[in-house]
Amino acid sequence: MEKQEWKRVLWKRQPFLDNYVGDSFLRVSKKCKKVSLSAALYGATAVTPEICSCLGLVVIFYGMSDGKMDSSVVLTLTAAVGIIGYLITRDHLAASIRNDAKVVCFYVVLIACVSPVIKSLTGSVATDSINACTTFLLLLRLVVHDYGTQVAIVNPTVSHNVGLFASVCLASRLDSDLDVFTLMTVAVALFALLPTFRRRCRSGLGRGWNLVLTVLVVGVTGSGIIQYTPHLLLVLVVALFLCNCLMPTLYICCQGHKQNIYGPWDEAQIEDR
Amino acid sequence: MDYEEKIRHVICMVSDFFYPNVGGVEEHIFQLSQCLLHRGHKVIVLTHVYGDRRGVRYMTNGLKVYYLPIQTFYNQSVLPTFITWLPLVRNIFLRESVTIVHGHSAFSTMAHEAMNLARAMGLKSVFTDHSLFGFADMSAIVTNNFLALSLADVNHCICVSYVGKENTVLRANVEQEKVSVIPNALDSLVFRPDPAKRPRNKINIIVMSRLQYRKGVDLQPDIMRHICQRYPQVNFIIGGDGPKRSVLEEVRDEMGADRVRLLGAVPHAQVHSILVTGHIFLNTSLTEAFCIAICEAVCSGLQVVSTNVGGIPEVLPSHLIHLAYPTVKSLSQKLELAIELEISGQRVEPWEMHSEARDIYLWGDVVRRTEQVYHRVHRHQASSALIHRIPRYKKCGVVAGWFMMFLVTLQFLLLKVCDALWPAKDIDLAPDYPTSFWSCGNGNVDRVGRPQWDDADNNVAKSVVKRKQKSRHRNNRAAASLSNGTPLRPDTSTRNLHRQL
Repeated sequence: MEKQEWKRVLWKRQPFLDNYVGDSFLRVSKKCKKVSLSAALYGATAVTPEICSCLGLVVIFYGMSDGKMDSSVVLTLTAAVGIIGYLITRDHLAASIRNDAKVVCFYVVLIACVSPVIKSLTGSVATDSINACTTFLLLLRLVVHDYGTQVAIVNPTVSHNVGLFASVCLASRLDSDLDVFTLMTVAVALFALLPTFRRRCRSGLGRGWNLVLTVLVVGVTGSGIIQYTPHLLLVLVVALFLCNCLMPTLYICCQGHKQNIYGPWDEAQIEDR
Repeated sequence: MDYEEKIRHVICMVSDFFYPNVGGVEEHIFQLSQCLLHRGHKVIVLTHVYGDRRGVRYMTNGLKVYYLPIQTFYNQSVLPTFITWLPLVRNIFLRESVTIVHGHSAFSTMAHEAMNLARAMGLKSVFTDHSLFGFADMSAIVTNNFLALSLADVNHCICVSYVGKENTVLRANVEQEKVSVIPNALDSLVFRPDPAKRPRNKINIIVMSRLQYRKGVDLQPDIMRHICQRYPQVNFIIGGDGPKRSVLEEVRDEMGADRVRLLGAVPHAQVHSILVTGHIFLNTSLTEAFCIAICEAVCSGLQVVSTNVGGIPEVLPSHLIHLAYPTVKSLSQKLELAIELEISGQRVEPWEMHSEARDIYLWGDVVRRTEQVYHRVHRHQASSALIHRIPRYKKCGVVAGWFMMFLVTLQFLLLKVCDALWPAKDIDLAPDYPTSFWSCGNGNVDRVGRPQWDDADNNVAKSVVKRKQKSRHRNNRAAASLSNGTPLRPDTSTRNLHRQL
């Protein structure tokens, strides 16, 4: 009866009812970006070094507080590693050598002056509270850290501040000023300098080298834990299993349930220039 | 005109958005109400209190507006409680003898609640959706679920474009036959070209929209810089206000106030006077269900350059609009094309554009199609007994569906309580606004000024003939006056009924 084809236009008077359903109705695209298992597993290795850093800090704290580690040795090692890392990335840094030297001197003087204050900071707080507080803060640091993705939960400022606050909590439990100074320097190196270095490595080196580096970091942390804090070994193992095995597998399994309908009603995305 | 069984409906428009707020939805409700009044139906409007504007007001042609004493909660909508203003609205529906409740805008919680209550009371409900929604983010998911709950028991839906229909069908899980597409309309008598007002040696590009993200304001600075650099005779005039104004003020400071003029908020009555001073109209929206601004621009004789998002490709034929992708490069290209056409004089002439565009979107057409929806809804016998309402919510899911079933039962019980405390027979019927022009009814009015309807079967035949003659005569008059679109604009004064009589 209606030989005229229905067209999707509003300005023409068409001999169809207003609620007519045409053939070309309902244009949707249910596009879903599929992530492969290997990509998920590789992505998870970005979190592993951060877990190792946090546990490394705790290991050094326990080592120094038990007296097994010599703080001057730790300090020299940290300085050496720091200088090596600085020389490697010298070409990419924006500031001049003089400015960097000035910043380093400033930090050293500041932390040295503040160490006695930190030492007596939590005299009246119970050890359990300190332990719980530190655990929570380090977890928070892991959650909001910037691993290179653009997500809403990422907050580099909070991550950095919380990490340093956790190390202040720990450092306040140590006995001598030098110990406190050492732990604070290690904290600054682990939480402020190492993440940037790691990010550069991750984007600069290939997959193979990144995996090798990750395994190296895990190995160093593992050996440190076994030597100084055997009771944390279980924590390391569980954390690594969760992060590297369980979560990626769960993510891949749940992808099938993802439903996103796209169509001409979506707001257009403005591309950045 | 075909003879149709003309039924007089009593329509209650409900929305959070009405005068004194100005915007697309508010204008639509007002114009539609005026046209329906003209056709002889009775229309009232329900909205919430605006500042100290509360109570009952009368607008042009006796449009009764109830400013209900309910405070807004978020984004100019009231808090959805489902039961607190049930007695008040029930009273209004009974007083005014409402038969159809027409809700507007998915953002308006008042509309959803009133439509739901209407169904509980056995009235019919119609919903008009003016906007498009995504599916991807959290706010969209929540809103879509609420919409699905609300539209599970609505008689009919109206969308303003085919994209809108797809969107509503997918979002709210409504059957496709239940959604009609009725576009917006504009007053083509007001929007006429006036080439004398345009400068001869300069080319003006007009942008008229709210300055917010979804109108694509972020695209405009780069486009303006590019065009101003290439064509020294081109100026930009930007009307409208909003959160993104500072972005454009930066460009104005850079280019100079003579090349980029910011007019601030422009009342709708003055939009036409700004449009006629321009040669080209630019629309950079990132999402739009139906853009009435481009139709106004075409009627006023401007060339239109627009993004091809949402429902815009369906609105105008291709020779009246230049469509571009929502990127700076594509829009600049199309703008340059339009400017070249303007300079060489090869563009479609303004009066030609107007004569083509003026008959496309008429209020007479819109109201006729809306009336058809009302007639269909009136004839449709969807039961509103509780036992039939409850299964309609099963498709909304386990948690939400059962929660709605509970709420609907609670509503039913509350209605019974209200019937016991304030019986319907004790509620006074409100007198209708007296008017001598009825295109329906047998032409007689009773003591209070209401038209008389023949409900006795043996009188129907005689009165049908009489009605046919009288209504045909009246409808010819109506058709003549409505064919130009309605020359109605919002009446801003509040008039007391007594002073009018």
